[in-house]
Amino acid sequence: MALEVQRWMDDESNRLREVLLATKPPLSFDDVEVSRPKVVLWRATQKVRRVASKLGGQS
Amino acid sequence: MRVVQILESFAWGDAIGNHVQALDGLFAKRGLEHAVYANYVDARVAKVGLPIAEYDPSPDDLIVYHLSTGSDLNYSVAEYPGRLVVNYHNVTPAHFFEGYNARAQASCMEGRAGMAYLASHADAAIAVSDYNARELKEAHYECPVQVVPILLDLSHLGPAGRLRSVSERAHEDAGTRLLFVGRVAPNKRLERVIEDFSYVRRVVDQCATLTFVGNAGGMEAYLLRLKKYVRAMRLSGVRFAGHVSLDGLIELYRTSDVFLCESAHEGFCVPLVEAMHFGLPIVAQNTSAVGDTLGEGGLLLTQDDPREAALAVDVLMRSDELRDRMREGQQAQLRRFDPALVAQAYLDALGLL
Repeated sequence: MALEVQRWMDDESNRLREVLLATKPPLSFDDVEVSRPKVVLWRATQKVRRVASKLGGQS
Repeated sequence: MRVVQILESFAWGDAIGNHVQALDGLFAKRGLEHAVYANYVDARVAKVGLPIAEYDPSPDDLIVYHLSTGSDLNYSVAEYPGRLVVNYHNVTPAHFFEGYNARAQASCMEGRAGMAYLASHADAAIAVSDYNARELKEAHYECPVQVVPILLDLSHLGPAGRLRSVSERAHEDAGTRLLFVGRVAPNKRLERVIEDFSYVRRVVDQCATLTFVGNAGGMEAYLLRLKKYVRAMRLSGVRFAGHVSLDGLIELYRTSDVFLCESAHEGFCVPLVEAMHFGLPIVAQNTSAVGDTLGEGGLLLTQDDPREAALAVDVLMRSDELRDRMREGQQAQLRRFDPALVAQAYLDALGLL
């Protein structure tokens, strides 16, 4: 027999459930794009180059 | 007769590598001739394992093949003349890796095909969970299939802990500390743990923290997306600890309040047993082999809803009655996974008793 969460809910849980139902859902993971490591690396490299050129150094 | 274990990758410190090492020690203790061969052998286990190219097959061999991924061995083991026992650890369904790692996706697809191929070649099969046994049956394994858990030696984790009562926990000032241990992989659904945590933090405990422990090798794109998700939610208190030392892992198991698992696919899930070893309360989604491994040692979620997970964390932090039941359940499960019992069952399944 598993310990299922429903069996252990009490009055306090029911009160909390109401609050949770009224709470704004968080951002969906589907709305966050997959970052490609190569793209991240490329962007970081570009940033370093920009900073280096502003400082007059070589990159 | 010689007992020969074969696997694709004999790694150091992972669940299957530890299982293989423990079995090798068991066969040695029984006075059996024994060997381990793999396509890849980690330098740290090179005293135990040898490259598969060095294997000299014999009809007298009892081959234990550990199947968990795509490999040419999934086919070539069928050609060896010895008796073949497939030890099925499960293969993660390939779709989980889509968009993150094409190589892992292909490997899992190949692994599933290899598992199906061996159905007509295996003389027997050992599944590490009921869930895995069901998958073998569905793949038309008509040979005897027995369920024997992973042979786990938890002695390296040090003394066992006891699940604490609410009042024992209440003496500490810190917020609720949530923990998940496992590879950073999409089938583990870390994004859902983060969603759960966002509700916990906003409604249950504003001081709660969440720590993920686990390697992200090959899954960097997934890890980056998870971090981006946390940033976009402006969520504080989340830590991706990556790989931690053994001492660091023990410390986290000992000091956390809840092990929260939202995994969609597990063949066994060793960290659940480790958490039980430390008496860490568990909340887990009832998927794949999780329920088999957990027994009554943790609270199973019945809905795939992050608000239910938040409710579970809350009731677990308040109810001593639940903690008492969970403590008994964890002790029962740990007895079930006792290495001496599992070793006997394994030898029995191999016909070596």
